[in-house]
Amino acid sequence: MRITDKMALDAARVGQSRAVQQFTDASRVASSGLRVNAPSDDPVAWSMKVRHDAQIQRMNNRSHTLNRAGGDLDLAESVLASAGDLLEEARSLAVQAANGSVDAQTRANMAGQITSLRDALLGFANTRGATGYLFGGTATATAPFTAAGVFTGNDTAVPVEVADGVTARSNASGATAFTVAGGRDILADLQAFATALTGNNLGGIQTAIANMEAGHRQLVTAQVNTGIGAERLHSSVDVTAAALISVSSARASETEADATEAFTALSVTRAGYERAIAVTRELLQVSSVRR
Amino acid sequence: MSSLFSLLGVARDGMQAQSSGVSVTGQNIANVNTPGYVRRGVLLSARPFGRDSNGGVSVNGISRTFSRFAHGRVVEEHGRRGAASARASALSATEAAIAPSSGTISDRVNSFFQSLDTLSGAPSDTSARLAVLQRAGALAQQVSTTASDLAAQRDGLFDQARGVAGEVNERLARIATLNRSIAEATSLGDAGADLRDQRDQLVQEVGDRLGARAVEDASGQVTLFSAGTVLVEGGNASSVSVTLDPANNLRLQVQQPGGATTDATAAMNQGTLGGLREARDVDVPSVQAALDRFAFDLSTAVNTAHASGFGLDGVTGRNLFSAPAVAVGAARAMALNPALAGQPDRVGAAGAATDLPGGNTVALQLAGLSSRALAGGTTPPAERFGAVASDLGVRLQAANAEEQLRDETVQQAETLRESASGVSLDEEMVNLSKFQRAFEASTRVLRVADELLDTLMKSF
Repeated sequence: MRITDKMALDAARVGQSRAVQQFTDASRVASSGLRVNAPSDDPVAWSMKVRHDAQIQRMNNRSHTLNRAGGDLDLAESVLASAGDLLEEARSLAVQAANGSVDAQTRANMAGQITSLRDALLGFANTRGATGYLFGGTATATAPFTAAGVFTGNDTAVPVEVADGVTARSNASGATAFTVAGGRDILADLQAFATALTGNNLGGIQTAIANMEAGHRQLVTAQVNTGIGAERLHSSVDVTAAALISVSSARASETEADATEAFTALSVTRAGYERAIAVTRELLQVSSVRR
Repeated sequence: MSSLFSLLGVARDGMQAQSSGVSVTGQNIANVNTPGYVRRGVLLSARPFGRDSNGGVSVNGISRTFSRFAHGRVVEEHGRRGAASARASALSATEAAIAPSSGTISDRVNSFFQSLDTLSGAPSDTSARLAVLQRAGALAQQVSTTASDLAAQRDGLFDQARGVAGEVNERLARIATLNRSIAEATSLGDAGADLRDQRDQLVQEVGDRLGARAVEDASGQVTLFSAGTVLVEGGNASSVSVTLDPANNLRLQVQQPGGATTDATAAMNQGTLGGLREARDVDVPSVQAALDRFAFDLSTAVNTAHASGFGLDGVTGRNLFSAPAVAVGAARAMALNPALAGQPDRVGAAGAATDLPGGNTVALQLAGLSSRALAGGTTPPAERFGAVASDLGVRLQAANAEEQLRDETVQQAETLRESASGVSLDEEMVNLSKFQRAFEASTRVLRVADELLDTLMKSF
């Protein structure tokens, strides 16, 4: 074939153009650390990246929500434990007051203590968490118990997603912990106990012993249930975190460049580019025109 | 027998012939980088030695070493490469609109569902509700802006196609003019090499833009075929125009010199115009339709769930996004429901009025849409959009591969043509020396003849 100067130089130009393109691509991968920067780089990997990004986002969201709800359940569990302690203290006072040697004045003084315990319990029942009042069900904006001890909340469960399509209760049940829905209306029982003490009503005091014990069991049961719920949420956080690591790893392997490969490619393409420049220079130097 | 005087004529012819050779060589060297230039050669022939001739040399003309076959292949391959390049370039712009380096629609989708997740954990929290409205608005705006960008890109491609049509027309007119000039030159016995160079270069440029095939007749004129019709015949040129048909697709019309107009749209598949048409009327609409479907299905799913929820004001039945009636145009029209703008209490998170303000079942349902397949598809929202971008990526990848392939075939075709018709400086330098030496030798002949005559005259 007859070879002209233009053919030789065009071939060198095309080779140089390809070499610089490859060098630029390798530079981009090495500097960004990403193998896939646009859908056309690798459509399948791009699609997987979008899927993984969505999964990672969902898992992060879930962890955040579960942590928040778990924190409220931890707080509710702690509050119920303290409430149980109050009931235990009230039961002790009831046992003391039921002793026949205790006079009316002492019982009247004890009534003041019981009233204080009741007020403290009311405060516990109206505790606020990160998402509002802990024991009001979905009525989270207002205190679920009035000063008179009337429950104005509800027992509606607030669900939270622990896995795709699987939910768990994220709020403690104030109704079953403090009201007759759980067996005893604890605030009313304490009120009745205080009234019995003030009235030096021995029969009422003896009834209060049983009521305080039942109320204590009720609170302990609620505490255990709340703790189990909190534990479930915390476990879900752990499971989600493990899944998050797995998905993040898969995402990285799909879209991120292997550093060794990237820098090897950079070196190889740079050498190719330099070779192409050298060839062009040689072609320009070799000419019969200068002879 | 020749005389000494005739030897002077031989020397003269030799000098003239070698001068012509040097001149043609100089022309070749001067045009070594001229696009479309075909190397020339001087045609020499020996004068017969006889009674009426001195046996010298005569210049019979200038040859043009043109390969019609090789040139035809170049034009054909340029047409294919023009289409591939235009399509790849257009799709690159589409990809930039659909999948910018940061802040893609899938990112907005994820961000939107993150706000719903947060709302499900804190349904009475005003800031969580405001975040839902803000992220929903941002998502809708991103989808709408992307749809507008795609529509603007189609408008831009139409403008580009009209510009290319103008370039084609300008070249068609020049080819017709050159055809006439070549015919005149041919009739006068001139090969019209320079005119042919220009015309053949223009044919290649038309090929670049629309695809072309040229057939030359005995008079040297070419008939140019393109887009399934005749664009130039002799000294007459048609004109092409690009308009939009009722379906908003490109339409190529060819107006013949007589005034008749033909529709050549179906054959517009080569050259820049062919690539623009493929990108504008096939690729981009496919992306637009997928984006519309995505916007419609997402809006509908979100609205259906949201409308079942109760706002903090106890009202239900509200849409979160402006409800699209049909999928066509849904992406561009996507927007936050104006009734909810700046009204966080109207976000429906609770499943019943009695669950207010802490009820979250609808918020949970909305957040759960992020992992459930949208109606009309099999994948969740972000992945659904990912599939749109991925499909575009496949198209662009194929277009880039096609462009690379066509670059190579053009290179091969040009190599073939260049091998036949190109100027080799090495050859020209040898030719230059060859003609120079021959010229010097002819002057020597002249000197010898002169000396012989001088000797002869002094002998008397």
